[in-house]
Amino acid sequence: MANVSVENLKKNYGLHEVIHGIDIDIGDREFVALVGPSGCGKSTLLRMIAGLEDVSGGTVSIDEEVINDIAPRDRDIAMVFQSYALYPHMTVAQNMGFALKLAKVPADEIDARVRQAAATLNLTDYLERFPRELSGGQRQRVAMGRAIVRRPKVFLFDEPLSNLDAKLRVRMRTEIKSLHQRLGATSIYVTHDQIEAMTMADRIVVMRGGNIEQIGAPLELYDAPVNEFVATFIGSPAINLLEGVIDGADFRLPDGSTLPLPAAKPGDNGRAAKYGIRPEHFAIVETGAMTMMKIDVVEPTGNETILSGTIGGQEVQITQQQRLSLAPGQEIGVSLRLDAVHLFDAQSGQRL
Amino acid sequence: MTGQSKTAIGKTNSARRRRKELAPSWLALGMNVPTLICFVLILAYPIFFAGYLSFHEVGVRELRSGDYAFSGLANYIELFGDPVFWKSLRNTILFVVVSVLLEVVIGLAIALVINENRIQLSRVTKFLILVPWAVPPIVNGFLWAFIFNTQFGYLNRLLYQLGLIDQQVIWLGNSSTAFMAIVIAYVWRTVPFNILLYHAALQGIPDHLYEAAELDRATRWEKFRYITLPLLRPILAVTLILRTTFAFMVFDEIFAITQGGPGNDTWVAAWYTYKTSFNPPFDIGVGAASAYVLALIVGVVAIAYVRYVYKKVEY
Repeated sequence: MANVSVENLKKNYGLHEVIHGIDIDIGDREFVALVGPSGCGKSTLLRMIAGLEDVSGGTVSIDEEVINDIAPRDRDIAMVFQSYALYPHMTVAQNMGFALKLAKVPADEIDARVRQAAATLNLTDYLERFPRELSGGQRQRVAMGRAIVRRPKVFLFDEPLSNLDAKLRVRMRTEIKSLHQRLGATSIYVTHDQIEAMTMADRIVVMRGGNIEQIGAPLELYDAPVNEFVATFIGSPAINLLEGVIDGADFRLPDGSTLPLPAAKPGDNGRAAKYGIRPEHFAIVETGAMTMMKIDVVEPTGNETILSGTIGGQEVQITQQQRLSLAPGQEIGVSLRLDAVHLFDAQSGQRL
Repeated sequence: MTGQSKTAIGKTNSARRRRKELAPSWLALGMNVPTLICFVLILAYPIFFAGYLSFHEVGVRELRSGDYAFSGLANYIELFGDPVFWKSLRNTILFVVVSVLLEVVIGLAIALVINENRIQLSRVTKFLILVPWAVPPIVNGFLWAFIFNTQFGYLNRLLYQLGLIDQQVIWLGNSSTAFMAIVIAYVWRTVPFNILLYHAALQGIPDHLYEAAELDRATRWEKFRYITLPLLRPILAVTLILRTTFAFMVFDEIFAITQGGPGNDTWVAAWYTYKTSFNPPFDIGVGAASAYVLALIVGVVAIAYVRYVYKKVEY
């Protein structure tokens, strides 16, 4: 297998630079997810690794060999496209065996490898069908099968699940992850869905506007986001961010109420900041409340209850692992897990 | 009670609606009548009348008297007994095979070049490529007749200036060069049509298929062979049907460039029909029969294409 590294990589279209010099090292057998909002450059980055886009600056290497000028066909990379890109005039078996046929692999070996991949992906009954005769999920699996039979050094996935319905997406997510565990191939997976990234990846690269915001293991990003963007991008429901000012050992909200700070840092006194706390780090308490929350909406999901409301006039959402009978308009006392509080600078959004 | 009255009202309503609905269909028919009359007069009537003529004796005398004697299959027997007809048919088939092949190959090649992202063609160039298609066939024929002219033609002048020939070549006096001259003039005019259709079809092939093929390690040729060509199959079939049909009917270039010459070496089926019918001895019955034979051949070829070449691609 292989490791992939990207160094000071840049991409411009004419005078417009869309990727501004990024560095990523991806280890052998690692599953890395590139996430970010639309237009953050994640797909462009993936296509540059594949060789489908020219590199404007910096290098892409596989196994320490710079491949900037190597044609896509000679990079030994397989890619699963968002649209699947199945050949419409070929059967499932022909689609999956196409690369092997071009590589002049003997027909019986092609057949064996296609059947093996088809068995892995539950496609055995569909080998003689054409793509138009398959459902979205089946097409997606054929696209995966086409990549698997190649046994390439690196797998690239470009939002492979975004054309599937929610239920199927969850199932395919598990399938891709277990497939990766079995094959152990280096994989780079582009998605705009942070849940996909969190559940599947060994490491996540969060991108915005052609820059990397943070690289880390899923829970690392969740527990210690380096800035406000990463904090809000990762996690659902999103982290709560309350605007206010650091005031000694307290965080003072504009309405005058205060929230406790985990550990006041000297020098930050009087700084305008955002107080970040995830929805599950609240507890409803009868006594010893740190602050009061006014309930607006109660949403029971079965396994948890999502409460939307306000603290000090600012909107917050909290989740509770229990069924609650609360009415809109009611005020409840809440306490916060102080070790899970993140402070971000109000201007730069950087973690304090 | 109420139920009954409702039904009654319903009936009158639907009756009124039915009367109203008749109006638009009559209007539609009325508006189509002029076209239908033209169609019947200039297409259907001549087609059936030619069929009628092909079974009757029609010459100058009969045209004067207006009295056509039924002759059964005599015209067809005469036609099949005429060596010039067979020669014309052979020439036609040769012409169809060569010109359609050239049209498809050249048209596809140019369409692929235009479609190539790395090659920038100006709008003017793209427009100019299509111009020959817009030139009336007879005008195109005369243009090329002048190019191939022995004494004043551009071709001889060009070749002479390039030092490739030292005396005038009589292009239209030799049966094979005369035949080539017609093929060139004809293909020049018809290639743009093929380019247009192939280019449109190429634009319809999604880029990601080529990207997938590239990552599947396909070479340029393999991408063409395994992706482009199969996906162009429907449009190739359509152009084959259209172009074959039209090539069978080639007439203008023959008329303008060789008049069937030298001798009868460039006679084709349509020229045979024309010469037989409208030149002495004005054997219109035989001409009509040859036109029907030609139509039959074209029909069989078109059906064969649809059966064996045309295959829809669904993405």
